[in-house]
Amino acid sequence: MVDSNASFIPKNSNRVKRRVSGTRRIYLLSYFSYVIFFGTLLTVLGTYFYAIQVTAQLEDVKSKLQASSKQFAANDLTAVLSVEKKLVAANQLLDDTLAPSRLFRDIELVVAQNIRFTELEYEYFPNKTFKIALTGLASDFNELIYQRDLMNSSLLLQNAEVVSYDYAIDSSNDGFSSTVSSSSNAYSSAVLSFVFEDVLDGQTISYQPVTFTNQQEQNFITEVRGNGDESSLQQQATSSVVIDPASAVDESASTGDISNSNNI
Amino acid sequence: MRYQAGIQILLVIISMVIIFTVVKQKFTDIQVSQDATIKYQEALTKATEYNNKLQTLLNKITNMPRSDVLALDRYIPETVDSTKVSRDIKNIVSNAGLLLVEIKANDEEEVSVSEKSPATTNVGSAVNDGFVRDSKLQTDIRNDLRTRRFVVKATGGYEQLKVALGDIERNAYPLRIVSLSLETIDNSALYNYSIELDAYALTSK
Repeated sequence: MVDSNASFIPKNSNRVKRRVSGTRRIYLLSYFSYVIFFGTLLTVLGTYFYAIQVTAQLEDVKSKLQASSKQFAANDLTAVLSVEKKLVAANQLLDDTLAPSRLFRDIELVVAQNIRFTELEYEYFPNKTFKIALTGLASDFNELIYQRDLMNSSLLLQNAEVVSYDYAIDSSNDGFSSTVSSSSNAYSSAVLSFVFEDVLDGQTISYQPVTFTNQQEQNFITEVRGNGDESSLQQQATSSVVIDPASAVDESASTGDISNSNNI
Repeated sequence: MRYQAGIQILLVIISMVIIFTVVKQKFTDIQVSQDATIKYQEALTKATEYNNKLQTLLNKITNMPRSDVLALDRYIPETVDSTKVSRDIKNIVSNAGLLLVEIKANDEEEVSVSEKSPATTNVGSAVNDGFVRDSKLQTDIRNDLRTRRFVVKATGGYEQLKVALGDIERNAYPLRIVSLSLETIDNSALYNYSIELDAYALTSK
């Protein structure tokens, strides 16, 4: 066993003093206060610069908006609104436009041979309905009933009602009785006048615009210049009328007046 | 030691004062600015959209064919020129072969045109009364539109009337047939016609 004191080197009597750890004081309040203070200063600086940035952004947006509002031309808007108003009004008017001429095609199909219509009344109402009243002459009630049955087969006038009639001796020979029925003695001296009437939805005779050919469009846009000359006025009237190609066919196909057309 | 503690407390107090007076106020200002920026940004977006839309519409109008523009201006004029309308009516009637007996223009007035109303206009007995016009119909007044009524009296045949009506319906500007009546003349093939026409104009208010 080796003796630890048996070293051949003489031992120094000076011993290394061990450091004694003393109590270290931490100033928490001090740290806290400094952190708070400098943190506040930094926050002030940060908010200051951030506010500058935000203000710059705001100014930038403002200037862009001003530029945008300068770019906005009120005249252009007026022009657009004006055209829009016209288009809306034109569309509305077109939707509301009725074509009473379509009535005649239907009437012609259901006029009985011995019936003569002498008066017609058409009236348009603001709620897009219209009234049609047909006054006619017949020789007796059977013909009137037959006419009513024919009306029932009509596309437009199927709900027309006889709203009034008058059966009277016809003292004046108007030529009607003799032309209508020479075989009826009673008829030659009596006339039954009646009125068919109906109120219909405007949709039933709504106007359907047609497309133009180039020449017709040229006519359409031709400016009317009046100089008092009849021939030029005729020409101007033609130019102011929208031509319907289908009308030529319709017009050539139509024959006679109410009293003698499409006798059934 | 006491001195140091006093300084620290003072620093904390100063910090609090700065926070509550400067920083808080600054944050409020920033918040206000940011809100304003957002609103301005929205306004800018809308303005840009409107500008683009306006430009698009303007381009559409600019690119409209001249004939269409003329047709539209003619279809909806700013005023009803009663003389020109009367002349056109006269020409239509004459071209159709009818004899124009009379033409008269009423005063211009605002249009009162309704949407289709469910209210019935056929009031009362259908047999006896036939039709009674209900004055209490709900109407939408189109204040911008003005109308002038023309009363036309003519004489002629049935076929001529059909031609005239067709031309009136196809006219380059609307001539609404408000009423039409015809009656025979002494049992002949000729008829007396009375037609009421409305011409329209769009006032530029």
